[in-house]
Amino acid sequence: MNEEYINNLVEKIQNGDKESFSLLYKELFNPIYKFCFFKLPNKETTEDITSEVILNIFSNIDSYSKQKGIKFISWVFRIAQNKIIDFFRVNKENLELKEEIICKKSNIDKDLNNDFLKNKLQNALKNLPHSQSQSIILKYFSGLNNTEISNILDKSETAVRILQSRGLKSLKKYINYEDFL
Amino acid sequence: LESLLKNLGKSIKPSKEFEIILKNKVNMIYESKFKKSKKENFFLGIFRMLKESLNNSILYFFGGAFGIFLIMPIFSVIITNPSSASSGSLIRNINGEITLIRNNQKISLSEEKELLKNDIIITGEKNDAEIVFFDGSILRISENTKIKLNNMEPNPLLFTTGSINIYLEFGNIWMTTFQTNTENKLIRLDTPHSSMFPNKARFSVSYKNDKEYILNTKNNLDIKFYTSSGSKYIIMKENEFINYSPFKFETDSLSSVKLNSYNEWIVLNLKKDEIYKKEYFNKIKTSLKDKYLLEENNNQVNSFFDSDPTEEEVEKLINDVNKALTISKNKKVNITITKKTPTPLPTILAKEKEVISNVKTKKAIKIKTYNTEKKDLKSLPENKKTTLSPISKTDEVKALSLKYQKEQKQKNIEKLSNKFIEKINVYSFESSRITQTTNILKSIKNDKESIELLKSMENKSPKDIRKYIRQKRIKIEKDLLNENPENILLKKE
Repeated sequence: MNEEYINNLVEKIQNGDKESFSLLYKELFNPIYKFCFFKLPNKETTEDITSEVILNIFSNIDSYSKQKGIKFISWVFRIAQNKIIDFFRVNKENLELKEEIICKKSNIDKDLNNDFLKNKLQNALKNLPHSQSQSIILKYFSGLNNTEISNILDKSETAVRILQSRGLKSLKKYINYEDFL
Repeated sequence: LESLLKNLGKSIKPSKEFEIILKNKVNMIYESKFKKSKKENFFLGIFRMLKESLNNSILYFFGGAFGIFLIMPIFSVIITNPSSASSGSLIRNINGEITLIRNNQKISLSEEKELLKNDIIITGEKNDAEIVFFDGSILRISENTKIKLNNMEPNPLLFTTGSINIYLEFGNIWMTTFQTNTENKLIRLDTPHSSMFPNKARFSVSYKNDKEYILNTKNNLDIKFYTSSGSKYIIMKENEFINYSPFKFETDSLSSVKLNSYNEWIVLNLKKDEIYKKEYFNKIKTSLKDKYLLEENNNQVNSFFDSDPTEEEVEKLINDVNKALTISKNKKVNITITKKTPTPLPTILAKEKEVISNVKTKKAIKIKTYNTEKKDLKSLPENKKTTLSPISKTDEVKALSLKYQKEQKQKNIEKLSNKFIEKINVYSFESSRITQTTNILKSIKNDKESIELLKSMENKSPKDIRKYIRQKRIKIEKDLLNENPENILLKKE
């Protein structure tokens, strides 16, 4: 994602340009979906939260202002992060129960779409500090670069790089490579 | 690890249906936020359509050329003047007092009044009406019903296409659609618990007090139910009935459902549909004449409709017109309207839909739709019949599935042998024997034959189990003796 390009699109949208609306949607859809996918327990919840996040962004896009000092991309991912936190807060009890049921019911034929790997990875990521896991998800799954991640996490690029390398190092301890081959 | 994570990130893809729905919602936000003048929208629309059509135009061209060879052409027409954008939908057959709310204001209703986006229609006791949409679909509203027309947007560049989104807040409706749902023709009906996407379907939906009854009488109806544990996709086939509430989910065939008063409503609508079909053909005919065709070809259009075409033939005609409109830049194109010969070559235009996973049963289903009649399909040679094929998985996912299968198998074996050991404990073996048998079990747990034996012996008496273990132990000891006597001596020591 090119920051200038995104800012340009946002400005055009604020002036009512529909073409930019769909272009920005294309730019944001995949990174947000992937970010939610690795944070949430299943595909259905991911779809629900992704649509909530995207609709929230587009309905409030005219209220976004650069002058407040927040970059657009960090504004977007803060909305996503808040929605995910809300989800876990509301569904805390249900999720604990569901986890057990899912374990019992897990079936080979189910829509795998990496559910198995995802669970393994999610468990491994849980062992890392929040900022480390956040930087890894944003970099490798949402496909953002370090500048964008530094904006989202409110840290310098060097700090982000350190977070990632430390995160990867400790992730190696918790990952069983055979599962991913 | 980095490349592994990157590859994993790349392999995640959201479902197509989800993307389409979300895109539509985003478009709706745009419409509500920055509504532009029609003229501006029109030119933006042309630009977008031309851009989108570039990908499909070559495909359409070759498909069209192939079709001309297969089916006998009857006449050709020239397409001109695409229609201008308007809601193109009207309310009619109003029976009793019906409320129309537009921009938070009550508006008086008259027969054949044009409806607009965001209109709300409420019917009272023993009142009903019907709405005819721009694409020919019809919606009958029963008594005590409230609906909102969330979206009603004809595509200004294409013939009888666009998106329709209706929200049923409560009550009873009947809907008849004639075309397949695609990205250009998206018909969607929402209720508080579900979203429906009809594919040439004729169906009834009743929603009251959190209970939803859906009955489909023709073709397929794709439904997404919103449950507390996420979404659930269902493909409702012909003559299926669904009774849904947040606490209950039942599907049944039409014959086994006690329909009672509901029955009358269905029979009445099926009758009305038969009459409406002729009207629908007439509507297509007049729209073609008015909006797209030159005067000189009117007779040819008449003769096509006089030859009693089937719904599929009319749908094909609409598709052909739209394909020609999409290819053409100046909207002036020769197209060939075809009518099947008396002994037609059965053509299957199988269209793969998305893989829809059923969340409850964890099974994935792949559906294929055909535009041919069932009879035609039967008469086809075996090799031309398309069959349901399993879901295509990527190699990665396949490998993953195998791995998972293996892991599960190993877990089952361990579980079985643990269970077995427990059983032996219960029957109070001598302590030394227990350790011996445990060791033996550990050594045999990967042996396929032994596993089967263990399974079969699960319900047998302790005596039989002891006997089996003794035999096994003796056998192992013998084997060891044959192999290396020193080892045995060491073990004995």
